[in-house]
Amino acid sequence: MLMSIKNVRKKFGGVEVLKDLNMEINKGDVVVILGPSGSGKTTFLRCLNFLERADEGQMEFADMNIDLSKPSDKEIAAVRKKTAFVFQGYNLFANKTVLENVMLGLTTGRGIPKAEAEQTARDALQRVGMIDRADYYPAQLSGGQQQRVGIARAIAVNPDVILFDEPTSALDPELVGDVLKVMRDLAKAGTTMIVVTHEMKFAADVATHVIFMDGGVIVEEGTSKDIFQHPKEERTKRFLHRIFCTAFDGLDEDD
Amino acid sequence: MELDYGFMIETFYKIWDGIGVTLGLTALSLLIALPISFYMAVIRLRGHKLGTGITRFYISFVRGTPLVLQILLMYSLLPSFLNFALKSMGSSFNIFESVNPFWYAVIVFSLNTIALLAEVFRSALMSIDKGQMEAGVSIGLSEWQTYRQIIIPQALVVALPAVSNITVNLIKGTSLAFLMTVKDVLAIGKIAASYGYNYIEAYLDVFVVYIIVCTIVQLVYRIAEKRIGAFRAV
Repeated sequence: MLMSIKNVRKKFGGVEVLKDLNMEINKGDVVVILGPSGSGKTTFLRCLNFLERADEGQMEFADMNIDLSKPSDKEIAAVRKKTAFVFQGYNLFANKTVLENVMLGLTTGRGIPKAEAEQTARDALQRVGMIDRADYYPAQLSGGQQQRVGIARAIAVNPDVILFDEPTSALDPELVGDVLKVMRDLAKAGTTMIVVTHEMKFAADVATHVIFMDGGVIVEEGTSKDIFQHPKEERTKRFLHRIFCTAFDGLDEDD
Repeated sequence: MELDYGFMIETFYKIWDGIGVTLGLTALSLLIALPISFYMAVIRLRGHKLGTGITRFYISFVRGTPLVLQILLMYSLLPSFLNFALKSMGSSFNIFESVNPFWYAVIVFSLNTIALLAEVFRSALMSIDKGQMEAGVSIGLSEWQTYRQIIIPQALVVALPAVSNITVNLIKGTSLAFLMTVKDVLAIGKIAASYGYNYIEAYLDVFVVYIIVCTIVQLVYRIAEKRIGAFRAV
């Protein structure tokens, strides 16, 4: 087992957004977290690398047993060095070129010599198909291109697990495909990923494990087949029904 | 009206020699103010209670009083205060004769510039998306590393036009240093004029000197902004 998370709770100003969440991840897993907006999925993901501080919870990861509510600076640094995060809004460093964006976590973050870091960064950019834009600044790229660089920045540091926070939901529809393709390739290569997303097809095709969250709790979890074809819970069924009906609205009218 | 061109040209060179004092005063005040004001901005953004209170009081004090008054007050207060302090420590150092008024001017203009720059830096730092910090720490940089490599460089570009303004205002503001008997550009002009009552010529000289200097400084800032802000220009 790579990572185990137990009893995570979190309140925002009196409102409980995470209620006793548990999760286990094995190496090579692609865990997809689904759920309506406001269900706490993003908050949960952000608690895992301390961008948000949980009120309660335990994390077992890389020979550490961390109290998520009061991690030491050392534990925070250790977890962040072994994970990477892909943001909904890309968050590329605006004052750095594409290559520098990908190198920074290696050089400044991990003290890897420049030449070696550059080679690693170029390999990562190659994998996401952005090597020909190495010397561009983020402002010169489309959203989809920026997000692929964001993914390159995450894989370059060779993390144990990559956390994806709705990586495609800020993108124009025609740019989503490129980013999802990169993520599919990563999954195929055995990268461990936790993905918060609304891309149902991606979830159905790629996820080794699907978690459906609503109202701060895990309503149902299982393989993608369990969730998409044989959902047990009423809330899961309603959610899937709503998503797929919206997607096929046009078809319905033709019937 | 007859202008004495010979006097004007001769005096121009004399006045031009005073540029060292004017620019020195400006540069020193800026250099002293930069780190302190930046630190003040960070204190306020971090929400440090006591630090924020002191900083806000200080800024409103500087903003709420005329520069001339600050100069006159400090020039009367500071030497006497220092003299008192030295005497009570048993030193026989004569502060009134041994300290060049230039240094009092540096103190006054630094204190003034600190307050102005602190506000500029605060708003510049606030304008940087907080996702930049999150991205930095998420790939294993410390907060300080992210500040140094990502946040500060971006904030400086945002702040640069305002810093340029403050610098030019400071160059012009240092002309008030003649009140403290500092021999800057304006003071030299006034002294030269008073020998033969050629005030118009001398003031025109001073006018030209300030225009030249301020234009060059603004130009330098504009080039700097283009260069270090290259990442924004698409």
